[in-house]
This record gives sequence, structure tokens and C-alpha cells, in this order.
Amino acid sequence: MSKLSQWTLWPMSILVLLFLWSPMGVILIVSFDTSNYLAFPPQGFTWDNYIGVFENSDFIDAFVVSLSAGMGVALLATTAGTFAALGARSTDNRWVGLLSTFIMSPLLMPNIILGLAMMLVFARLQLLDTITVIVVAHTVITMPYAFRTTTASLQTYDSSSEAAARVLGASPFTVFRRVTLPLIRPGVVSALVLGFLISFDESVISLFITGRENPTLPVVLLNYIEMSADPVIAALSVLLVLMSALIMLLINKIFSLRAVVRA
Amino acid sequence: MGNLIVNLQLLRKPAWLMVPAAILLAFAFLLPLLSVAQMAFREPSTIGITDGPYTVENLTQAVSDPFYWGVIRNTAVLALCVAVATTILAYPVALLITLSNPRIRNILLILSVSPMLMSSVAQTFGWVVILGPRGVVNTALSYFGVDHTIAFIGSMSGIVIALTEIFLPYAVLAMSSGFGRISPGLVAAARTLGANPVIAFFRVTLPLSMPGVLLSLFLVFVISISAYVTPQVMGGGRVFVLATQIYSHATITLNWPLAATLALLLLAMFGLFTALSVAARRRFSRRGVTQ
Amino acid sequence: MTVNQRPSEASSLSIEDLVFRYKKADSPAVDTISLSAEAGQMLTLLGPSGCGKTTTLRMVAGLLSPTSGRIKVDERDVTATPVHKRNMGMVFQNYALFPHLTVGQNVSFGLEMKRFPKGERVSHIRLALERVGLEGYIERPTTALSGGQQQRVALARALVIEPSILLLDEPLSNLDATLRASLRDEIRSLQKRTGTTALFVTHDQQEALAVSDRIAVMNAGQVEQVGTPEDIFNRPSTRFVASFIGQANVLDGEIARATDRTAFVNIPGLGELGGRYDTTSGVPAVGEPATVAIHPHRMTLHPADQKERGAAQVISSVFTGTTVQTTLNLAGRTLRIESLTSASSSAPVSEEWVRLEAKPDDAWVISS
Repeated sequence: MSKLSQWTLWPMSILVLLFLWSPMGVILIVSFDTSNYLAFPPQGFTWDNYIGVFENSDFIDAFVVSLSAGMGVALLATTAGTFAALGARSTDNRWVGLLSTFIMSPLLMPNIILGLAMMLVFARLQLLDTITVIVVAHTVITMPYAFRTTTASLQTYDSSSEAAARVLGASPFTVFRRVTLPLIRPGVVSALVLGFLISFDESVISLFITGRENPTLPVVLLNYIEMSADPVIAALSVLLVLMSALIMLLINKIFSLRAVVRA
Repeated sequence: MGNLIVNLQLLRKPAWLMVPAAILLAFAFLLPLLSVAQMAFREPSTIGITDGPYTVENLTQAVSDPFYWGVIRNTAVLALCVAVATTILAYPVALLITLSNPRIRNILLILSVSPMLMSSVAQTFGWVVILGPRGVVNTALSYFGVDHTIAFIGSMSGIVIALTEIFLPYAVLAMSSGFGRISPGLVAAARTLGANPVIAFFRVTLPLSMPGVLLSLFLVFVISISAYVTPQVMGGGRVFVLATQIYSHATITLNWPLAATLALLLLAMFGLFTALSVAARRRFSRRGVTQ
Repeated sequence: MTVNQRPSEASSLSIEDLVFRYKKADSPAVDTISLSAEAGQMLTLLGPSGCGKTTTLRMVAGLLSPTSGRIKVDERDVTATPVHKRNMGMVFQNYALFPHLTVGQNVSFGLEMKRFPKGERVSHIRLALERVGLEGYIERPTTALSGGQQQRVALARALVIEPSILLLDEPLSNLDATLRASLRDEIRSLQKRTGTTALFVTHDQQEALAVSDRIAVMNAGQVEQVGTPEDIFNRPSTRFVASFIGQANVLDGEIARATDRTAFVNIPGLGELGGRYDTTSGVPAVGEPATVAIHPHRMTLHPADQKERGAAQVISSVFTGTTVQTTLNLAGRTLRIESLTSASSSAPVSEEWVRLEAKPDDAWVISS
């Protein structure tokens, strides 16, 4: 790399990255603060805010809601998305292209509009503020990812390996279990993880379709930030970031390990 | 041989596997969107659900009332500021990613993309701590003898700063994907032909980075006009954009027809700029991307 | 050679004790090399990948700063001169044409950097494109051109600025075989016609032999030998050069006897093999270790008996039309022989036993 980039791009990039990480850093610092309102610089060091997170029943209840909804979303979106991806390989059906576009289209819709739209329909059906409605709503926005990751892993191999298995005498079900499924497993696992993480972090749609009974964790977090921002919120935010990061790391580890074993 | 062909035909991928996904989307995606369109043309309500008579009153109100013009203008100005600021800040990072060796590139990518893992609620909260009346910036200012507290929260500036940071990873990704034609070799070629480093940047690197810059501008603009959480929190209820108005009409004043009308306006803006970005991308790809 | 027609403004290049060491590398990528090219000459750096030839070229261009050593153009030290002030034209392996500019704009770039007035630029661009056979392409986008055409544009772009030195960094290696040969000859004739001094980097020995006035064979950061193509091919000065050029058979032994023209080397398992040697370094002493290099096409095969001394067994023989390429096993060594075919003779058969013959004038002895 030339000297110009060396002396201009690096310092600029480091400043930008500092800006990018500053909220994360500040939250981390504040989460250990001893004062009970938000102020800078911190007054002292304590773990109490973290203990406070677990003593707050609002947080715990909302965590359970978000956790159950997230798992439901991961399962539903991945199942439907994987089936759709398998179906989309059929090349002789003119509906396939249209349906693929349809399945991907929620990605192009802003969540604020989706939230309002779902509220309008689910209010009439009296489904608002239930875990079921959260699962359905979040499945709409995560299924495109499941469809895409599975399609991507289907594209990395040639369907002739399935034909080869059939020629070698395997039944269609055996082919699916012994050939297709192992080949698309990376796509399916990343779909599960993405589905969970996106659902767990989603706030805007949840704001429209949940209420007092079953608010998700981001909704509760948002309400607290607007009402009484204090260091306990910071501790909760740190825990949430840690959780997402751990899940990603774990998945990375499992996958790179598998890649090593395969090679 | 005939047996083999029969066997292979059994392998034909069954398209009906797409049906469950399609049904789910028809019920939870298409139907809700259609009901937004329907709701937008009902008479105003104050009780949420309404089956009132059809009218175009909401639409005429939304486009004639100066208040809503202000909301639309706020939305566009906010999105424009955020798009420009993110793109400028992401530019050196994306360029560095493009020019670096694979190892450095990976580290930089992870550093600039992983904040996406942090929920926008938590990130916005971080900005409340930094920009609040007793936050990092104002404390630092008073330490240097500035008595005056800058009100970032409740003003456009706070929203722009926070959204710029939150959307920075998207800009880095969009830009580095649009930087495919930039290479150290081209800069080297320009240098051997007599261009000094600055001229080489302006004559070669900058023009070649335009597809990425445009991609980033459009993407961030489009996601900014529909951002809700950050404008709501950082705006402190004093800055109105389409998204915050949609939410407050949907959940506080319960004027659902108006909320739906504003949603249609937002969708129109969204669609317009998405179409523009697609057109821009087509134009660039027609000009030819070799590498 | 038309050395006399060379324009007076052609520059000479000399490289003195050039060293380049990458950060964290154990050994230098370029290790104290000295080379020179006279005005109007084509000097080629030839060697396997990683031998330091491209690093050397990039230092001459100014794209890399040498760890130590000097680069001089016309006896003027340019080591500290930045790239854009060296006035060297460079042609890159991957063409490096500016994709956002047309063919004409690409060629114009260097002229604009030199602040040529617009009116003058056009005629220069036209002439440069005409020279490379792309007259009608001035308005075309470069992305619509074939690889060969792109490299011609790159050549025009490098030559239009009338560079003091033309640097060619494996310019042909991205092209297919037939195009490679024709563009190779074009580059050579263009370089001769314009009288430009050129430094050519390649790993392809055919290319190097065909275009060069002089060749520097490089290996592991060092120059093994500098000489005319004939020198390099017929009179290799090191074992590496012998085996790298023309895939000569290289046989180790020790000097048995020597005359003032010919040295005879005793090869274990084969017997005595005679060849010319470098007489400037004196007559080699008997018993000194030595290596004989013989090109595959300069040996002949004769039927022999297995028990005969120096008999070799045919491993395989491949008929390629003009020649037969035979691989032999001689006392555990693998040798390659290439012989012209004729309608009457037949190719050797596998497992057949043969005797090798080479005239002393066709072999070369490297004494160490």
C-alpha cells in the first residue's frame, strides 16, 4: 500500500472506528457506575447494576417472552424457508421465480410499516400481545434470510450428487437424509441462528403488536430508556450484546471446527 | 436406461414445497399491507379499529397541512444528513478494506460490521449517555470552561449523530461491495504515468469509487427515512418524522386511517429512492465492471 | 542489429548493489544485484516465480523503495525520485487500464500529467494507437476490448509519454498461447522501432530468448548469469541456469582430462562426456567436480546392449509430430532426449536399451 494510504487512510479509519464503538464503550463504563442516574464520569465501581438486572421482574419476564418467541421464530422461519429453498430448485415451474421474489420481499419493507400493517390485521383477529403473534410477525422478516442462506448452500453443490445417490440405489428419502440434508446443514444452522438473533433484537414491529401482557425485551428496554435511564439499563444492554456475541462466536467455532475436520 | 430416466425424473424438485412459506406471507405480510392501503382511505378515527366510510380526506390533509409537510421535510433532511455523514465517514474505512491484504481486511470488516449485532435500542441508549445534558460531551465541554449545555437530545443533531453511527456498518458494507474496480495496480499505473498521489486519488480512485458511494448514499437514505427508535429517543418527543408520527397516531391518538396514510407516504418515498438506487446501479453495471 | 538507428535520446539504465528486504522476511527478496542496460537495449529479467524479478522491476519503477543500492538512468541517480517523476512507462501483467476511461483517455492520461496542450495530445494519441494497430478504437470503452487489445492499449499508454525506460511486467502471461507469440514479436519490433530502452520481466524462457538483447537469469534474489540469449542457452555459467533454460540434461561428475578447447567429465555410470568450457577462467584441473549440460535435442540415441557401459533404458517416448521426446533412465538418473522424426525411422520403444551420443561441441561443461 502506498504511503498516502498509510498516512491518511489509517488514522481516519481508526477515528471512524472509535466513533463506531463509542456507544458500546460508554455503555460498558456506565454499567459499572455506582450512581443511580446517568452521569459522566462514573462515580465508582460496582457489580450492583448487573445484579439489579436479575432482580427486575419486568426484565426477566420480557426476557422469557423474547427467548420463547425467538426460538419459535428460528424453528418456524427455518423450516418454512428451507422447504421453500428446496422447492425453488424446480426449474420447470414458472411460479417459482415469482414465489422466490415474494418470499424475499419483506426485506424491502420498512419495519415501521410492517408493524402498523400487522397491528391492523391482528387487532381485528384479537391476537395482539401474544407470543404467537410475535412469532408470526418475526417469521415474516426472518424467513427471507433462511431462504437465502439455504439457497446459497444449495447452490454450492451440483444436484448431480443427488442423482448419483439415486443411481447408486438410494430411495428419495435416503437421498434427502444422507445427501441433501448434510449439504445444506450450514445454511440451515445459520438460518436458525439468524432467525433467533433478528427476532431477539427486533423492536419496532414488537412495539406495535405487543402490550402490557407480553412485551419483548427490546420493548421494555425502550420504555425504560424513555422513562428512567439509569445504569441498570446499561448493564442489561451489555448483557444483551454479550449474548449475541457469544452465540455468533459459538457458531463460528462449531463451523470452523467442522471445516477443519472436513479438510 | 429407461429405468434410470424414470428414477431421475422422480428427483424433479417439487415446487409445492414453497407453498407453506407463501401462505404464511400471504396472511401475515400481503394481507396486512393491503389493509394499510384500505385503512388509509377511511374517515379519521379516534378509537383505532374503524370501518368508517371511504374518503381521500387523510391524503389531502397529509399533503396540504403545513405540519405534515414539515414532517416529510424533516424525514428527508434527516435521511439526507445521515446518508451523507455515514458515507463520508465510511469512505476511508471501506477504501482501506479494499486496498488491504486479506488478513487486515478481515479484521477491519469484523471491527466495522460487528456493532450491527448490538440492538439499535442499546446503541441509541449509548448515545443518550454520550450526548445527554450530563453526558460525556457536555461534561467534557464544561471541563474546558464552556458553561452552555448543548441540547443534542430533542434536536435534529442528536438524531443525526446517533443514526450516523448506527448505520455506519451498512455504509461500509455497501461501499466496499461497490469498490470492486478499485485496485492498487491502477493507482500504480497512474503513478508511473506521472500522477502524484493526490492526483492519482482524484483521477483514478475517486471516480472508480462512485458506484460504491452512490450505493451507500441510497441505502442509508432509504433505511434512515424509516428509522423509528433513534428519532423517537434522541428526538425526545420534540422532533417529528414520518415514523414517529405513524407510531403516535397508531398507538396514542388512535387515528389509524391517518397513520396508514402516513405509512403510504413513507412507502412512496421508500419506493422512489429504492427505484432510483436500482436504476443507478444498472447504469453503473452497464458501463461495465471488468474486475 | 540496427543499433545505429537508435535515437539519441534513448537512456541507459544501471542498477548497483540493489537490495530489497520485506519486513519480517528472513532473507532479502532481492539480494545485492547489479545490472545495466545500454540505451535502446531490451534487458530481460528471467527466473522462476519468487526469484525477485518483479520486485526489482518495481524498484526501478519507483513503486518500491530499495533497502539499499542505487538505480541510475543515464548516470543520474533516481533512487530517491518519486514514481511520478521518473518518466518510466510501465506495462502491467493485468493491463491495469483505467476502467472508467475510454481507450483514448487512457492513452491521454500520461500526456495530461505532463501538461501537454490539448491540440498536441490528440496527434500523439492517434500515433500511439496506430503503432499498436488500434487506430479506430480511440472512443471505445476499455472494458469492451479483448485481453490482447487491452494490453496493446497499455503499451500505447506507456510508450506515448516517450519514457526513458519501458518496464514490462510479465505483459503476456494473461494471454493465450498464439496471441502471446504474436504480441511478443510486436512488442519487440515496437521497442526496436522507437529505440526505447526496456526492462522486461518474465518467467517464460521462450519469451526471454525471443525478445531480449540481453538476459539476466535470476534465482532466489540473485543474478545467476547475464548474457545474450545465445550465451544463456549455449554457455550457462551455473547449474541453475543450465537446468532452467531449455530444460537441459545436467550431469554431475569430475574432470577426467581437458584440452584448451574441450573438457572431458567422468560421469558415474555413463563414462566420459566431452564439452566446451569457459576458457576465460583457465583450463580446469583434473579431478575437479564439474557438470555437463546438454540440451535434449543435441543428443542422439543408438541401439545398445543392456550390458554395455553407459547403456540407458527407455522409460517412455512421446511422438509429437516434429519430434519424438524420449525419457531415459541412466543409472538412476532421468534424461530427456528430443529427436527429429523422419518418415523412415521409428520411435524408441519402452524398456528398450539405448546408448547416448553427443558431440563435444554441443555440450557445455560447468566447472565449479
